[in-house]
Amino acid sequence: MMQIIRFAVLIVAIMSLLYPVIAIFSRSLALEALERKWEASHPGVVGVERDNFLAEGMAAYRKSLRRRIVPFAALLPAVAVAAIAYLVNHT
Amino acid sequence: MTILKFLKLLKWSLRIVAFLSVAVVLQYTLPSRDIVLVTDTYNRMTTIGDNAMFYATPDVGSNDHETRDIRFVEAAYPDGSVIVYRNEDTGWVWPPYFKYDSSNLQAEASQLRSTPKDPTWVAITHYGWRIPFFSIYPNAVAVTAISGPDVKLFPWVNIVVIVMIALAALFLRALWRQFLERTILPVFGQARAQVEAIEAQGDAVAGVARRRWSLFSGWLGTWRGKPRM
Repeated sequence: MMQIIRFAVLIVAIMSLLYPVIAIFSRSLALEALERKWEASHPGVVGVERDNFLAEGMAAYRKSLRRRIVPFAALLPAVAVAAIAYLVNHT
Repeated sequence: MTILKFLKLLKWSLRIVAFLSVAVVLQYTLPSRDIVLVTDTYNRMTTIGDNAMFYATPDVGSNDHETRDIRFVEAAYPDGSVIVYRNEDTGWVWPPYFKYDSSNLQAEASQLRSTPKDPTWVAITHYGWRIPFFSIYPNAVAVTAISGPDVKLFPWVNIVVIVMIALAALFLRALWRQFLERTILPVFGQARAQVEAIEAQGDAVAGVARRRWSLFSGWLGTWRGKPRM
């Protein structure tokens, strides 16, 4: 019993480190894609227009499906452990 | 040998050592299946000493050098050579099998017991190594009856696990590169721009100094009788 609790604490600790990193990574990719898109359509143009374009794009990203799926990454270890435990012990 | 050559050699040695370590850990940890017949199942008091890392982790607070009852499964390969498996719960961290049905597995193995004269062939899924010198045994994870000793078993689980590990490694690499490209390098880029600005300023100062020096040396030249520039 203690082992399971220790293991759960370990996973929660690892995921609470890893999850923000994944979220930041996903955000950073979205921002980079927007910057590339702007650079392709308005080469060399910087200023308020570009800032607005990026801000709108990031607002759309915050509502996107991808952004909503990211939190489920935190559940992956638990799902994997449950699947392995089931396959090893109950089949 | 130049220092560069040495560093290159060091880099490759470290890479090879890292690759081999990962390979050895995976070879120990990933499941593999033996086609055998189970000849006996029993438990025996076993003293665990310095080879403890190849046994299940004891509970917190118990002695490292301990004697405990461990289930074993004896089996024979089709060619007559033998193998002994231990059958222990794995616990919850490493190796990540999360096995807690050792009693059931022992019962299944007992049920499938047979003799070489009238063999019941089974596939025993296990991880670990049998090294008699260190008294270590592979840990059996599952036992299934199969039709005969010539059945071909394809290691799907291993392929899936290795692909997942590779994907995770690539993901972490992409993550690190993104961080480097978007967070760390821009800082260096700013620092570099500042250095260049300072250098440009320095050049300007040096230019003024040079001009003054040439005026001064020209003035000196008037005393030496050198022709004026």
